[in-house]
Amino acid sequence: MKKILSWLNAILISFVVINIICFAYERQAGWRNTPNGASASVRQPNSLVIHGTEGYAINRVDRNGYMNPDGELADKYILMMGASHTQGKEVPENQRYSVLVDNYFGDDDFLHVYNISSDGSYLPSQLKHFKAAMEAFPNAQLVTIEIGDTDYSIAELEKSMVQANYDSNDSALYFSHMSTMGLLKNFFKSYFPMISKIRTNISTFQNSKADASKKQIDVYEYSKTINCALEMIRSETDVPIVFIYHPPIIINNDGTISLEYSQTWGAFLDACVRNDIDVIDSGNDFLQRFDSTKEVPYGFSNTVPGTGHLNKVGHRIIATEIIEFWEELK
Amino acid sequence: MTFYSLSFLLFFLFFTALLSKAQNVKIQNALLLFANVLFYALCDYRFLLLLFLIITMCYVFAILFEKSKNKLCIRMAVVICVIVLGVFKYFDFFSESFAKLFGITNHFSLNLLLPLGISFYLFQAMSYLFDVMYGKILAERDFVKLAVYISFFPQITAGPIVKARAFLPQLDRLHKVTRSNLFEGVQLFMIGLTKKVVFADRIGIAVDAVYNAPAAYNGISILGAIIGYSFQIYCDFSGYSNMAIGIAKIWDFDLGENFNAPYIASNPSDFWRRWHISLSTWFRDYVYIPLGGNRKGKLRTYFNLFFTMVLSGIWHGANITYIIWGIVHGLASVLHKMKNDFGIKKLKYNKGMDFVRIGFTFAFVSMAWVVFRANDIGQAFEIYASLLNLKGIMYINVYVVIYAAILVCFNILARIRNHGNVVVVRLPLDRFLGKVLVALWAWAIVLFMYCGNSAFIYAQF
Repeated sequence: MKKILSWLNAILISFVVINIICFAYERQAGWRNTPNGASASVRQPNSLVIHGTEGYAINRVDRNGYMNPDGELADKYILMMGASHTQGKEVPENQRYSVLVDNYFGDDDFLHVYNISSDGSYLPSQLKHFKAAMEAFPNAQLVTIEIGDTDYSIAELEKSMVQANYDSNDSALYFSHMSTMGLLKNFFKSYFPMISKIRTNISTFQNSKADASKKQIDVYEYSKTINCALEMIRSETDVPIVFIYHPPIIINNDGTISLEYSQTWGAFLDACVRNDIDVIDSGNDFLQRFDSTKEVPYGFSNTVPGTGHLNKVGHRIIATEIIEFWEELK
Repeated sequence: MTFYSLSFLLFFLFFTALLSKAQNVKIQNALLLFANVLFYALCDYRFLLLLFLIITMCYVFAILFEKSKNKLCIRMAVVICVIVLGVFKYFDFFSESFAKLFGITNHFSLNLLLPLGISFYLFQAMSYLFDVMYGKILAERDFVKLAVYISFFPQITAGPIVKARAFLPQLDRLHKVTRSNLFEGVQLFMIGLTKKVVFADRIGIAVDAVYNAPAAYNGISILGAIIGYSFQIYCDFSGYSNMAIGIAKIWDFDLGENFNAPYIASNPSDFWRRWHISLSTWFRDYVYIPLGGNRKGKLRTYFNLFFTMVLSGIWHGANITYIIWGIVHGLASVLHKMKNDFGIKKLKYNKGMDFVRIGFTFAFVSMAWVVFRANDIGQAFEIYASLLNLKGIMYINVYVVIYAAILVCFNILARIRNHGNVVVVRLPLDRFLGKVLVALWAWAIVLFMYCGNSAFIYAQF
């Protein structure tokens, strides 16, 4: 019995030590889903997000649960929606494309760009929360929606057309009125990053065994459905909407890179044109950048070039594209 | 079933409990055989029959030899082993190469799957046959014992190749799971696990990226990948060996050492005394020495050395890259031997010179690994040519740098503080601090491990 207790103590003490180490390596802030929010989820306000498994950056969550620099929102601003690429927790704050665009508008204390992206929130989720986002941020002068893929099933797109009804309480306020259970969960998420890491490891391991092949999509049906979905978001606002599409890249054997467009890309583009929605396709800029500097837009020194999330090069390319688009818009 | 899966843990705990209850050697050996068969079947049941036939063949021919004293019995059995290996591993390669050479378009292929661990268990089977023939051991009358030896599950998939004379006597005594064996075995296993899932797999991701498209990367990145692969293959293979030796140690078996700080070798011959020791000594005992070793004149010695190294290359697989790799190492070993034989004056020993020699040997070994790692000779040349790339993606993977630095530190320690032998961590697990450190080590593995798909490099051989 004494030996078992001694081992249990050793395991516990070592866990505390490794948990402290984990704070410097990989620490996710507490988060919750917001079915009626401007985005699909928000993080624990004012917490630190430390990400070291892909790139390395320490980022702070703002008072609303999004990753933005400190500052009051300006009267008029650009609203940026998207998934983890836009959130940019792999790069330091000053390299994130939303911040680079914000810096373009001057260095006053106001935020001219507001980033409401959330992890895993892809095209269907952006469409679903679009109306709520417009209600939450009514003074947006431009809405950007970042996507890395347009291949989604008809069912997913149809589901996204049932719009979320915006509830302002359904966001950061939640964190100040949490149940004991919620508080406890959040406490564990925030202060035991090692537990989150173990969970992530298990899911990564399971995903690595899963079939990664893409399903074929009926492009004709897709065209009709995406057209309806885009028509719907177009009807929610008069301000310009622009999709920022950044296709994955492939590093070829001959030393060049090529782009891997979604199978529905053409249909998606047509639907955008029909609904007066602009599109920035970063693909060509990725190719040009590679040709001139041999830099790739994805990947970090602790991962593989050309894979994973946008790196500082990718963020800079997209920031430049948005700025040019804004200039043309003016 | 990999060693670091939940299914293996359950399998191992179940049989550990059973084995510790066994009261006599025969029951314990029968349980061991059951464990081996179950392990093999869980990995790939399709070739169990082949394994059984090989064991039976060795059993019968060794007894026949002992009764008749006719070496032909052993030679026939060895030839059968070689034929089996040849059919499964090399037939298609040689058939294809022959067809290419003579421009034959419709060549015959067997398209056979490679049975799990075939290169390892056939070499153990041949070790038994040779040891019986050379009188090192008597032919085994207990079929179960011989079957346990040839199919011993910790090393059947990727070694070490334990010699019959070293293993069979261990099956004559009752094995108990003692505290000291458990502590030593667990730590050896953890060393192996760290090398595999933390070091090798992470480095492997970076190396694969560069090897998949070398023309896209600049020379520095290529050099990083070449060095990275040297560390990856070492961590991957020695990691597996550590795990296998650790598992066997928990059950009170001694499989010997398979690696001894190979990257502090000061010449190519020294490298082979430290790298895959069980295979090197197998070739030394059963090929090099029977060929005459160094007893039949200089020229014959060089030939024996070269021939043995080429065979060692071929053992790794049916690809021209492995043959060339063997040739390169064979030539290097011969040149080193010639240098010593023809009395090129040795420079006075000093630590600085020692590290220069180590550096040169490491550079040579790393460059040779390029051929070993490449899919074909064309890719190997592409890698070498890409070393001169001035333009391309600049990619120095941070894990390669960190892990390489850790390994270099351990190697320097081994050279300076441990008389050139590998430094092995042994924590005092009977003390509380030891328990905390080993638990911390286990947590650190969880924190820094790579969780994607990865197989042991040597399991494919």
